[in-house]
Amino acid sequence: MTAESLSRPVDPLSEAELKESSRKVGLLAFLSSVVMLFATFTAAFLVRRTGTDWKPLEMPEIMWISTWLLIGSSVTIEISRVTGRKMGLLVTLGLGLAFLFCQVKALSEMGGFSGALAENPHFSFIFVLLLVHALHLLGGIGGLFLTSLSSSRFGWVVTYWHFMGLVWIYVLVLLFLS
Amino acid sequence: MSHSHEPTTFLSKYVFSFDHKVIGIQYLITALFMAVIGGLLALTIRYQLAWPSENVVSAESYLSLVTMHGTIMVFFVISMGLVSGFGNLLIPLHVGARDMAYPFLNMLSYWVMVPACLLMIGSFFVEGGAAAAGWTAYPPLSALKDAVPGSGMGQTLWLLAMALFIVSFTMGSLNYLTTILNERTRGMSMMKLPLLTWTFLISAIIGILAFPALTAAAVMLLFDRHAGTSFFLPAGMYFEGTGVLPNMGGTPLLFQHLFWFLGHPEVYVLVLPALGITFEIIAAFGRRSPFGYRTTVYSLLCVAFLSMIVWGHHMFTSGMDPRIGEYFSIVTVMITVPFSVIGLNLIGSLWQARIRAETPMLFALGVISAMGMGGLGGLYLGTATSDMYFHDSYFVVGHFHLTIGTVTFLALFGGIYHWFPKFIGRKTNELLGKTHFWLTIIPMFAMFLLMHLQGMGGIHRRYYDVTQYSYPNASAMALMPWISYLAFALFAGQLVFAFNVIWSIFRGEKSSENPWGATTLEWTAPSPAPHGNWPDKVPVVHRDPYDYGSDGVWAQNVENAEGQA
Repeated sequence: MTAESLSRPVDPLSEAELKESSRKVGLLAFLSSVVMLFATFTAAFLVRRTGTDWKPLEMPEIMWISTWLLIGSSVTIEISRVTGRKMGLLVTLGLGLAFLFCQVKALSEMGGFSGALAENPHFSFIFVLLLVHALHLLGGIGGLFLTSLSSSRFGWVVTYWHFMGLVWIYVLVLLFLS
Repeated sequence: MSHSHEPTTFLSKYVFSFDHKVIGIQYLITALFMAVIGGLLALTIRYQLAWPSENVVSAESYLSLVTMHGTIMVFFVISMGLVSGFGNLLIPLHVGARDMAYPFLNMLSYWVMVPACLLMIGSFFVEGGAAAAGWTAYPPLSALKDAVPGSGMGQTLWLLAMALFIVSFTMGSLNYLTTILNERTRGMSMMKLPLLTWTFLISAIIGILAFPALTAAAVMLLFDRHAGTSFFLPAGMYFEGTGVLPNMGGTPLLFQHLFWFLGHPEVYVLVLPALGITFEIIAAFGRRSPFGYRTTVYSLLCVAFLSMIVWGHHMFTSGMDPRIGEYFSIVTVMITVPFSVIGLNLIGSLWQARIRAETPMLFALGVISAMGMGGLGGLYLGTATSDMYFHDSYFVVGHFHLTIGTVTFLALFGGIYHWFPKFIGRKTNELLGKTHFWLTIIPMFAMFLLMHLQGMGGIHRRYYDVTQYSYPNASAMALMPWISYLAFALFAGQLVFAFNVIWSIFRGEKSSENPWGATTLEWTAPSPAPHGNWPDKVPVVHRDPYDYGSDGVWAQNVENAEGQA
């Protein structure tokens, strides 16, 4: 048996190590798919805002609150991961729900699912991007809930949660500050 | 270990199974069922085209037929059969794993695909009929609910079915990618993977990166349809009765860009595994290692990269800036470089091969010739100047049917004949298989090559009744009924396949573990492969995937010559 024939990365992995490492690979692949999704919306946004009917909107104040809530939730999940206390996950979950509440409130202040959505293309993008981000965050909230119940390790949910926080900041910059 | 928990109930064994082989067979059966539907749609289309005066369908339903034939064949037959079907069957066996990395996700992906199929089929029976905006779903036909009858409920169901399809396909791709990268057995380095597994890996990567573009486009399209937004709808659209629509500022071209950002890589998602299957078959039936393993792998990676930056060649006539058109032309023609390497490697693999012309090999040789001839037509379409003339003509129809139609179907059939003994435990009938081959390849080539000629004669695609126009060349028009006869013959020929498969499941000659004398790991498992794939330990890899040496043939798990039975 030559060294070359054994170039299978780390060998042999225990079943648990293999599971953990597969989880990372799968998560990374999934996140790259999410990146492509938001990249597509970005491309559409950049094209669409050159239209003659583009009327830029101001960022609603409440989005500052939601942003700080999400940043805070990343801090609490990190504390939870470092200390290994699952209680922190429930705090994160609460902050996540508060974030979603603020998002809904921001959208309804701006006109909600009414005529405004059709009339202002900027608002159409705000609505769609907030919705798509919220749906992804809901997946994270589900993950937080399941992880807090199970006795296993933290798994994918911490990385995923941080990632969704970053995506939100990206969306915010794209929509209002670019 | 997961393989020790063998499922015992009927539901957990055959319906909601976690076993990659069961899921793969579920996918294959579903894909073949959808292929029958897609084929029947095609026959109706051909009947209308050849004998338009009989009005076998209405003009509106004709558009639905074209749309649904394309959608079903591309996504629900070829993607599902080649990638999900064979991917599931073979990836764990090829890499030496007991199952996929995420068996539960795998089961879920199939059971998300089932409602997608049902929604697609069901959309024929709703008010207004199935979607009629083409498989590309271009707005405004797809974005305005009242544009044509199929733009109503049919289009909504189409979008929902596609959304489910994408979810399912993404779950599948994550599984394939993770399994190939992470679940390889001892000794299975990346450069020892069978080429088919490489193509599955690459098509999974393309799928993960390209499908989100269609997801985003579909979300915006749904908003245009149901919330009155103008992502893709321009100002000034006029409807009789309602007058000028209030939409402003959107652009249908944006949708075309997003669609083809998925649409073009998607054809490589389909074609690459077809080539992978071909490599596996010609290695086993040519009794030699495929020529240029490494150059093939690198070329596949090049093709994958280039496939994601060439989408604009579907839109040369959309009024794009000629400089952008030039860019898309150049990168498109650049694909011929890595693709020629792959093609030459396939042909080179036949050099000094000891060919056994059994059924799977015939299909593999068919794939090589279809890819060569189909690719030739691509040169005319990839170049913006000639595409201006050929765009939306039967030349295009002939071209893509010869490439993603013929290449993938031949590979699908070849793959089924090749791996049938492994998963069923019996061989298919050789005489029936060869008959099926000739009854398939002759009408397929004749049909699609003649379509090229029709396109050159000026016949436009998607027209309900081409006889109403005087400009097409008369001899090109005269080909219409002949192509339809060939299509009927092709469909009839598939009955031989159906009979062969069903008969062989029960009465076929029993197969040994390795009936073809092949070298990759799946042939070291029993036929049919049991739950967990290998009854005792998973094999350890010592050799290259195709070790057909002058001193003998060695499976990948053979350590030294004495180990060979």
